[in-house]
Amino acid sequence: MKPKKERYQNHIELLQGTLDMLILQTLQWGPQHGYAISQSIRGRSGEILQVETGSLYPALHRLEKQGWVTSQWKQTESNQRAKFYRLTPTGKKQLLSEQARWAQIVNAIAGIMNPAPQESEA
Amino acid sequence: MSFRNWSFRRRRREEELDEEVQAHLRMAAQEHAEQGESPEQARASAVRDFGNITLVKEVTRDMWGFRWLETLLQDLRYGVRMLRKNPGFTAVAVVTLALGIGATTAMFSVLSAVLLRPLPYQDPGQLVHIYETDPGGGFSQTPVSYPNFLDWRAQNHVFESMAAYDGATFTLMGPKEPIHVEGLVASADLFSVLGVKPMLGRGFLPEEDQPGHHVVVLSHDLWKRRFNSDPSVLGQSVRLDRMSFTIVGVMPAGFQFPIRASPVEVWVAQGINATVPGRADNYFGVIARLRSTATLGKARAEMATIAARLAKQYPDSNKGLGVGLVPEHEQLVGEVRPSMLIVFGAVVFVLLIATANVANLLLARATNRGREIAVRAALGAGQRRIVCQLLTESVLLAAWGGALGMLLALAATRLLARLGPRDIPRLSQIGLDGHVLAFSFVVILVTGLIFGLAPALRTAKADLIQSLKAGGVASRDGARGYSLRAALIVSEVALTLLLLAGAGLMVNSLIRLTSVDPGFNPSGVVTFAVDLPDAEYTAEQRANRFAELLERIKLSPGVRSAAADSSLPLSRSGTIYVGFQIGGQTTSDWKMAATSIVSPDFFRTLDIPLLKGRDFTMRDGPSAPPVVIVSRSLARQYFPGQDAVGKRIRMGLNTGNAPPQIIGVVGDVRRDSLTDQPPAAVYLPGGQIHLGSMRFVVRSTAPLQACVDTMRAAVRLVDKNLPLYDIKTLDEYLGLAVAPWRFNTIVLGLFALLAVVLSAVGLYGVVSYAVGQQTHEFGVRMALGATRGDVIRGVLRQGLTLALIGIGVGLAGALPLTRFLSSQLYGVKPADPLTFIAVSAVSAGIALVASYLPARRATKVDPMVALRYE
Repeated sequence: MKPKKERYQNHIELLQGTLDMLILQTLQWGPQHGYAISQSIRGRSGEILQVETGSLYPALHRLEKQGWVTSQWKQTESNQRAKFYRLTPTGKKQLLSEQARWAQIVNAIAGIMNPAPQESEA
Repeated sequence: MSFRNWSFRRRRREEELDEEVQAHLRMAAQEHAEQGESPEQARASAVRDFGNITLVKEVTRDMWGFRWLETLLQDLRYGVRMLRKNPGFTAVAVVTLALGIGATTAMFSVLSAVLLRPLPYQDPGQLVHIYETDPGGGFSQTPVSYPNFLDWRAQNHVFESMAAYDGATFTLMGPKEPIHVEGLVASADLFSVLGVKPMLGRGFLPEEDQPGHHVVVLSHDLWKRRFNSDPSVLGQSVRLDRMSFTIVGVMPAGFQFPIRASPVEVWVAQGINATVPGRADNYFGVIARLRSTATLGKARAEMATIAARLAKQYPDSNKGLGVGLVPEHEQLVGEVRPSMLIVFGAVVFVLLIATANVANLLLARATNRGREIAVRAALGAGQRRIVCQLLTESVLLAAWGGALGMLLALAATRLLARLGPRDIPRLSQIGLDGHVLAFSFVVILVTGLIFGLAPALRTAKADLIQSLKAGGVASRDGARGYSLRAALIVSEVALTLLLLAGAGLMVNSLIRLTSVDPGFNPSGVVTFAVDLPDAEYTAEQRANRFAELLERIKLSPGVRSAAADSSLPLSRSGTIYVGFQIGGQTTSDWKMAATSIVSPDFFRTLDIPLLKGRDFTMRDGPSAPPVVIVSRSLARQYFPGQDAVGKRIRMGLNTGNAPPQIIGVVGDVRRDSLTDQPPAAVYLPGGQIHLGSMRFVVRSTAPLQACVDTMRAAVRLVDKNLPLYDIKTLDEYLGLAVAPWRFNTIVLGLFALLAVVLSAVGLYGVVSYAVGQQTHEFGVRMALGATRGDVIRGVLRQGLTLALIGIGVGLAGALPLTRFLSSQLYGVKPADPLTFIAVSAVSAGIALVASYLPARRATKVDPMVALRYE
C-alpha cells in the first residue's frame, strides 16, 4: 500500500466529483476510450493531474449508469478495439451545470486567496 | 428479467470490463514501446502504471448496482465449499449450534404459547379477573358470591360487561353410553364478555339467569363426537344428570373457557340452580371486560368503593371482604411465569456456551487460514470484503446448525406437548409457528454474527507480509489470540457452573420433596368419582345410594378396604375450608379448617393413623348425635395439653344444630400441596352430611386394570347409568403433585448436562490446540530431560487454571442468581453450600479429564520430530 502513495505525491488529489466533470469535459470534443481520457487529462493539466485507473473506470461506469455517457466498441486510429465513451445530451447539460458550479467555487476560493486590492493591480 | 437472462448479461459485462482493461494495457504498452522500451519492459510498465487490476475491476463492478447480491451469492458458494472441505470441523460446529439453537427454539415456543400468546378472545387485553379477598381470614384470593357479583355488575361504571361462572361436572345421558363431561355454569353475559359468538345457534339470554331455565351450549368437540356434527341439534333436548336441557348453541372449534387441562364441554345457563345462591355462598369466578376508557387502576379504585359499601350493607357475609382485580392473562399464567423464565434463562446460557464453543473453533481455524486470507488480500481483496466473506461463512454455519436445530425443536415441542405437566396452561398448543420461526431466524443470524465477528476481524487484520513469509506453515497464534480463547473458555465454564448449581438445587429439592411424608400411604389405592346430583336425589336417597355402592365395592374380590371421601388430599380438586368455633360458643372467633366428608374406614383405607378415640361407624347416621374427627395439628393447636376427644366444636356448615362432638384424633395429612404444612383438618361423617359427588378410595390387592373392571361391575350392579370418572391411583395423584417440580428439574438438568458436554468439548479443544502449538516447546523440554510427568503436569495446569477461574467466576455469579430460584426450591437454601461444593468438584473433575486427554498426547511427541518441525 505504501509505495502507491509515494508515487502520487507530486500530483494534486482531485476534489470529490471533480473527476466526473473532467471526464465530461474531455468527452466534449468527441468520443474517447478510457486510456485516451486519462492521457488527455494528464496532458492538458501539464502532467499535474494523474487519474488513477482505480478512479477512472468506476467513474466511467458510474457516469454511464447515470446516463450522462454511453459507450460503444470501436476501432482506434492504431486499429485496436476499444470501448469509446460519448457524451449524451443529458451529460452535456450536467457538464454545463458542473462548469457553472466549478466557476463559482473557483471565484469563491480566489476571493479568499487573492483579496480585492491585489486583483485590481493585476 | 429472468435470473438466467440477468446472469447472462452479467457475464457479458464482466467480459467487456476485462476487454476494456486489456485494451487500456495494450495502448499503454504501445506508448511505452514507442518511447523505446523493449516489448516485455513496455508491458510490465503498463501493468505497473495501471495498478491493482483486480481491485480496479472490483471497484468498477461496484458501480453496476446489485453488487451486494452478487457478492453474497459468490460468498455463499465459496462458504459452502470451505465448509465441505472441513467436514470434521463443520460437523462439530453444526451439531453444537443445532443443540443450542434447537433447545432455545423449543423453549421459546413454550414461552410463546404459554406466556406471550394473547388469550384467544376478542381484545383479550381488556379482560379482567375479579375476586374477593379476605385478609382477616388469611385468604388473598377467594371466589365470589352470586349476589355480590350482581351488585358489582349493577353498581360499576368501568366495565362493559361482567359474567360469573362456576365449574360443574355432569353425566351426559342419551342413546349412547353415559359419559362424564366437564361443565361450566355461567351467567348470560359470559360469551359476550369474551367476545366469542357461538358457531351455531346463540349464547344465553338474560332471562336464562333466572332459576328454572335449562339451556346448554355445546363445545365443538363434544358436538362432533357425540352428535356427529349435526346442525339440527339446535332446539333438541339432551339429558345432563337426568335433567333435560335444550341445546341452544355450539361454540366454534378451539374455543376454550376457562383454559385448563380438562376442557369444558358444556356451558349451562345460571338458571340450572333451583334458587339464587346466597350471599355467603362464595364459589363463583368473575370475569369482566374493561371499558376502553377505563384503566385497571380506575377499575380497582371503583371496585374497592363498591366492596366497602357492600361490607357495610351486609356485615354478616361481607364484613372484612375486599376485592381484587388482575388481568385475565395474568391470572392464567402468573403462577407459572417464574419457572418458565428460569428455564428460558437456562437455555439462553446453553446457547451462549454453544456460541462460545463455535467461536473458539473458528478462532483456531482462523489461525490456520491466515495464509489463504493473506493471498486473497494480496490479490486485491479489501479488508471489508474479507470480513464479509468470513461472516457469510459463519452465518452459513449458523443456518445449517439452525436448520438441524429446528428439527430438534420440532421433536422437542411434540414431546413437551405430550409429556409436559398438565397444569402449565396451553402447553399442549406449543409448536413452531410464525413467531417462533421469526425468533429462531434472529437467533441464527445473531449467533452467526457473534461467533463469526471476532475470528473474522482478527483474521482480516492479520499481518499480510508475516503470513506470506510463514510459508506453508500455519502461523503461530499470538498471545492475544490465546487470551481471547481462554476468556471464552472461562465464561463457558462459569455459565456451566451456574446451570449445574441451578440443576443441583432443583435435584436436591426434588429428592426432599419426594421423601415428604404426605400423611397417608398411597400405594395400592385406586380412586374414582361417582356423581349423584342434587336435582335427582333427596339427601336420604343419596346417602342410601352411596352406602349401597360402598357395600358392593367392599364385597368385590381383592378389596381389602374401601371408603368414600368428598375431596382427596393432593388431588388438586381444591380443599374446602370451613370456619369453626372452639367449644361450641358462638362468641369465640371463627377459625378455618380443611374440611372433608368421609365414610367409615376412610382412615384405615388410606393408612392415616387413628391416634385417639374411634373412627366413624355406620351408626353415625342422620339421627345420631353429630360427631367429628379432627387432625392432630388441630387438637394440638386448639386443645393444648388437653384431650380433644369429647370436646365440642361448632362448624360453619351446621350452625343451627347442636355443636358436634370430637370422637377421634387422626394424623396430619398434606392437602393442597406437598410443600405446604398439613392444615388443621376436620372430618365430618358421610352418614350425616352428603354431597352430590363423592370419590371412592379402594385399597385392593388386585392389579389396577382388574380392580377398575371390578369397580365398574360393582357400580353397574347398583345403577347401570352411573359413569365412573377420574379413575386414578393415589400414586398418580402424588406423581401429579410432584410433576411440575420433576419437569423443571428434568429440563434444567438436561440443560446443565448439555452445558457440561459443550464446555468439556470446548476446553478439550482449546487445550488440544495449545498443545499442538507447543509441540516444538515440548520437544525441546523433553530433549533437555523433562519427564512425561512434567509435560502432563504442565498441560493440566494450563487447562485447570482456566477451569478454576471459570468455576470462581461461576460461583460469584451463582450466589446472586440462584436467589431467583428460591420460589422453585423446597427444603434447600438458594446458597446451599453442599450443592455449590458438589457442582464445583464435578466441574473441576470434568475439566481435569478434558485436559488430561490432550496432555497425554503431548507426551507422545518424539523430541526429534518436534525439533525438526519449523
